Amino acid sequence: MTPISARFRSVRGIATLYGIAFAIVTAGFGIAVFLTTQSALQHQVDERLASEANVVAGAPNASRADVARRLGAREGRRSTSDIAYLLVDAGGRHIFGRLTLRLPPNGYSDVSFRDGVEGIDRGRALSIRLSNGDRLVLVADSEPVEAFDELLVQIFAVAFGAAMVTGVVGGLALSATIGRRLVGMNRAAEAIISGDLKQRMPIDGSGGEFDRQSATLNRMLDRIDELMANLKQVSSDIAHDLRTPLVRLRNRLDLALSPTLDLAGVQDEVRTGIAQVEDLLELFGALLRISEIEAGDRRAGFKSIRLDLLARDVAETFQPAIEDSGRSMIIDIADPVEMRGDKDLLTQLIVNLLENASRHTPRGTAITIRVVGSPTASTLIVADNGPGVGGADTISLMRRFSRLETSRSTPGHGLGLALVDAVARLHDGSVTLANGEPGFVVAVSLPTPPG
Amino acid sequence: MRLMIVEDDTETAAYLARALSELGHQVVVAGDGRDAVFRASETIFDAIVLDRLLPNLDGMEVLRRFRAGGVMVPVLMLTALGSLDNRVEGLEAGADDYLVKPFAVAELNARLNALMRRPQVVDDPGILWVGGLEINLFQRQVRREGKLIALQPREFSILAELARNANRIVTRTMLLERVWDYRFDPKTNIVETHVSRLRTKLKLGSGTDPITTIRGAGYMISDAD
Repeated sequence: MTPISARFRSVRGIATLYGIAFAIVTAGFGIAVFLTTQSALQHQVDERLASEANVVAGAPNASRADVARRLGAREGRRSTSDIAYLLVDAGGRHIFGRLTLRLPPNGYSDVSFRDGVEGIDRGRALSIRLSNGDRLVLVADSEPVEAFDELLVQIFAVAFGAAMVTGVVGGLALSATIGRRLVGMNRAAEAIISGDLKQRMPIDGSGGEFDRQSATLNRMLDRIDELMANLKQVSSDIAHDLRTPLVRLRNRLDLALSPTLDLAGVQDEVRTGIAQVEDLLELFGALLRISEIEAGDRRAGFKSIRLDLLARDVAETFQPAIEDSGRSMIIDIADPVEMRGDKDLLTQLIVNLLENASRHTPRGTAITIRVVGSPTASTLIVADNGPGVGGADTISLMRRFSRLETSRSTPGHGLGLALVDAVARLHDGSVTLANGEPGFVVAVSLPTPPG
Repeated sequence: MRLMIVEDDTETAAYLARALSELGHQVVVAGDGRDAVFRASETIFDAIVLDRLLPNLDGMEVLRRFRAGGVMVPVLMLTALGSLDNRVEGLEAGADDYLVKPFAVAELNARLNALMRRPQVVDDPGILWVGGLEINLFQRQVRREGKLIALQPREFSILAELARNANRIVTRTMLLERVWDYRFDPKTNIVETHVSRLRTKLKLGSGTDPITTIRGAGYMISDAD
């Protein structure tokens, strides 16, 4: 059995609960209005009886005849037609008035009476003792009040009914609407679970909460789809790119078995084989590193970094090696540039860019590293004045394993720029590749925190 | 050196045990964490090579139990590729060094030897005398026969690292880590380039080269004059 608390967590449950609460509040409100009105009316009647009694009784020493005369005069009047009078002496003997009733005690009371017009009526009585010992009784007919009460109850019955209908219908409509959207979402989710990754959450164009939620979910699905596509691409790339070196390795080992080789020859083949395996392992290392960066959990370790100092440090470290290789290096870094980031990864980013620039350019090329700061983003630029890259090729360079046909012969696995891109994106930055005419320019834009 | 290798992959363990034995060490292999904790409490090793990923008892937990159980032997942790943050985590848990698989046995051996040296380095003498050089670690100055040799800061750091580990091999990766703080291996031979420049400067005047290249392993400076 579902526990009650759980049942009220369903849309239908919430609607029911809401309906019940609505009914209770409406009924409570009705009762409060009824009681307040009644007491107010009662009070008004009592006031009227008191002032009427005052008028009739007159001065404290008024004679019985005076009182009776006044009673006679008032009984005929229209304005006091709803009040009946009775005057009796101290012994209870009738002096004036058409009223027939059991004498009420002094003060206010509810009574049944007969005034000679119809049957028994209910009313509010005020009984006072006059100075001469006579008793004056005034009775106001309750009929108008009762009629009003009845009307009030009727109004409330109608209002309550309408409120209940509105509540129930509204609740059902709400639960139906929500239910329909959820069913739609469930259907889409089920389709995705069963493999249709192109399926998306329904959007009806209303721009409401559900549409916004669907839009967010859809963006999430787009991202997942993109990652899946990327994964597929990478798997096939790996399969393709690993095949070649593995075949080469196999052939190498086969050669080592050749009976014509002496021990030195065999060792030579094995040594080359090991070098090939190390290349493969390095490739795996680079791949794992990229996927680790893309997982994004390194953001927690971001620290404040002086990008200018870091870039200068790396550049100075690489300068001797680059110069030894017959290329020149220009370090164009002046102003301090501060940002938040992962020092290890940014170091590797700069190293990759410098290594790319020196590996894919002819001797004699000048390589420039530049750091430009701005209030919102700092830019790290590595440019060379070499032959550059064809326009269409620049876009594909950032993909994993992407290598230009012309660089097939140079060592590398085509993961350098993919890693640069991954590191930049981890820092909410972006990488732009361009032809410098002459040369090739990589610009890494990294956002700097405000303040 | 009496070593324990904690590694669940029997082939890797056997390979390491053989290679390290050939280098003259006495090697014990523990196949899992419980075994390792038990053996460490029974025998006093000079160093322990501990794999980060182990069945049942994780390498990090094994390390914690070593330390909790009073086993203060230097521990070198091994980790698989692509685990950037494990290094920091491992060092924080009390590992003395960290090596990413795959690695060359020469690298492992050099690092184990360096771990042996470590306790004596605690009181840094400030001035080291190696290979005919006077190296002042505080002033970051090098002299040969009283004459100052001008070095770049990085070149001095390389020399200091070699001098602190005199008579022991310092590998390329160790230099990358300790001089540059690089946790990855650049394609460019920056270590070679900088060592070569350092050598040129040290050789100026006397003609003798205090640094020896150990092929396939690294560099060494010997404290004999």
